[in-house]
Parts: sequence; structure tokens; C-alpha cells
Amino acid sequence: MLVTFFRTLILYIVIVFGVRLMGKRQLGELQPSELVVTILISNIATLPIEEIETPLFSGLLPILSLVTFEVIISAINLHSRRMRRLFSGSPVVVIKNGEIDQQKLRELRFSVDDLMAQLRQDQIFALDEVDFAVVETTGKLSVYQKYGARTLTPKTLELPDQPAQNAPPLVVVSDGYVYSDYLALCGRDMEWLEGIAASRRTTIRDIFVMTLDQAGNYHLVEREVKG
Amino acid sequence: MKRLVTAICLLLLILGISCFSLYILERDLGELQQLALELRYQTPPEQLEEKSQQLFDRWNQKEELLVVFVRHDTLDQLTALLAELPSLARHGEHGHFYSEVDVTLARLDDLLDSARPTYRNLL
Repeated sequence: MLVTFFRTLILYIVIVFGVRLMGKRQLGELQPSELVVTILISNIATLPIEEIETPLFSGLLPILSLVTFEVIISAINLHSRRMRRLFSGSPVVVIKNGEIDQQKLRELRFSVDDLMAQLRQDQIFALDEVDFAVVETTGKLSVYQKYGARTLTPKTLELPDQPAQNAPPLVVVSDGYVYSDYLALCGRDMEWLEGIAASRRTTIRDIFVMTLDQAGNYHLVEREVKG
Repeated sequence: MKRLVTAICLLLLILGISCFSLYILERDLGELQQLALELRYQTPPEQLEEKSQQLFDRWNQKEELLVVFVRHDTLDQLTALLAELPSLARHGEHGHFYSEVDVTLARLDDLLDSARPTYRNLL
């Protein structure tokens, strides 16, 4: 039993390392080659865990090989458009100027139901609201709405720009831990933070979460006292 | 770029380990095959027990490293075969002894053959 435990632990560490090596892209929308690698890794990893008769190397070797192939192929894809098209395909326009390209939909084996489902996921319930739609290489549909259906923005209302509002609030304290990089990004320092904590009659260690934007607006939540 | 360099280093390491494992298999199994062939064709009957015990001891030494690369059930089968040989020689069951040595030779040959990247193994 201990053997299985340690083999599982080793494989876990190797797979986490492999996924980290493949990068953040692997954790979001998967390209076809990334999907293949992910499926293969999950299948290969189970064999040496279940069968202690199999040498651990027999499991580690293909997993690490797949990871290195994926990293090398994605590096080649980055520099070669032709390779990128070969491994990931190309985005396909399925709605152009409000008109559905039925031929493209058939080529993608994309039914009207699939199209409508993807549109609904983007909060679009009427086809006539769509001006342009592209099926990305990950299979996700990207939609550009017609002018009249777009969300009202300060720009369309011709309101004056407020640069201070462009920077999002950042978490500067989490569970008593200070993110000094974010604090500096917001143009503040530890002295300012300690001053804010003192003004609230608390200490930094007792802050549960605190967000701050570049305009100096902050939101502070103190840690609950355990009863 | 760092990621790519790590991947290439890892790939070289994988290829290195694979080549090393093949070298170990060729070296160790080749030596064992040689000993088994001597046992089969060149050893006088009165020395069979001693020589087969030597072969078994040698196998046990080699198995320590082979266990890292080869499926354990394949190794266990060979261990069982080789463990029988001294006893068969001691009791004068030469017919059975030689057939077991032949099986051992065939298994060693199969094991070595399955590790080589030949077209038959690849396909």
C-alpha cells in the first residue's frame, strides 16, 4: 500500500510539474493538441498507479515526453503560421454582416442548436442582434453584436474619460498578508497602509481582505473574531 | 524561452535515460545469455548445479537494476525459471533442466528484443 501511495505522490508531482511547464494556456480553453495531451496524460498516469508491476519509469517517460512535445510544438507554432494552422486550425467566420454562412456551419458540423446555445451563453437570444461571429480554434464562439444591441458604455454616451477609473482595484492585503507589489502599483506604501489600519483601530494582521485602486479608494474587511 | 529550454533539456534527459536503459539491457541480458549458453552446451553434467547456482546469483544481482526498466511480472517469470535450475541439476533431471534453460534463453532473447526500437516493436 505504501508503494502505491509513494508512486501516486511521485506521479502527482510530475504531472503538476508537467502542467506548469505547459503553461497557463493548458488550464483555459484547450487547443486540439493540448486536449490530446491532457487526455493521454490522464490515461497514462493511471496505469503505474494501479499496477505496481509496471515500472514507474514506464509511466513517467511518456508523460514527460508528451509534455516536452507539447512545449516544443507550441514554441514552433508561435513562430510558424503554417504549423499553427496545421496543429490548431483556423478561426472560421460563421456569421458575417448578420448573415449565417450555412456552408461553413456544415463544414464545422455545427448545428443551429449548437450555434444558438453558444449565443445564449453570451447572453444573446436573438440572431438578428449578431453582426459577426467566429468559431475560434478552441471551439468557442466569439460574437460581435450589432450597434443597436450592444451594451451602453460611457463612450457611446460621450461621457468624459476618467483615467483613475480605468485601473481596477487590486487586493493589497489578504488574510493579513500584504502584497507589496500591488501596493506599490497603486502608489502607496506600508506607512500609508499602517495609517489606514490604525485609523480603523486594527492592525494589518487583522485585515481579512483589503482592495485598493490607483485613485486611493479602498475597501477593507476586518477578520472576524472567533467566538 | 525558459520553458522551451527546460522542455528541450527534459527531452534530452528522457532520450538519455532511454538509451541508458537499452545499454543496460544489452549488457546485462547479453552476459546472462552467454552464461546460459555455456550452461546449455559447454558445461559437464557434474558442474551443472554449481554453474546454474552461479547463473541464478548473477541474475539476482542484475535484477536489482532491471526492475527499474522492465515489467516486474516478466522478471518474476525469469526468476522462477532460474531458481528451479540448481535443484533440477542436483536431482539429475537433465532433460527437464535443459528444457528450462532453453525457455530461459528464449525469454531473455524476447526481453532484449522487445526493448529494441525495431520496426516490429514500433508497429
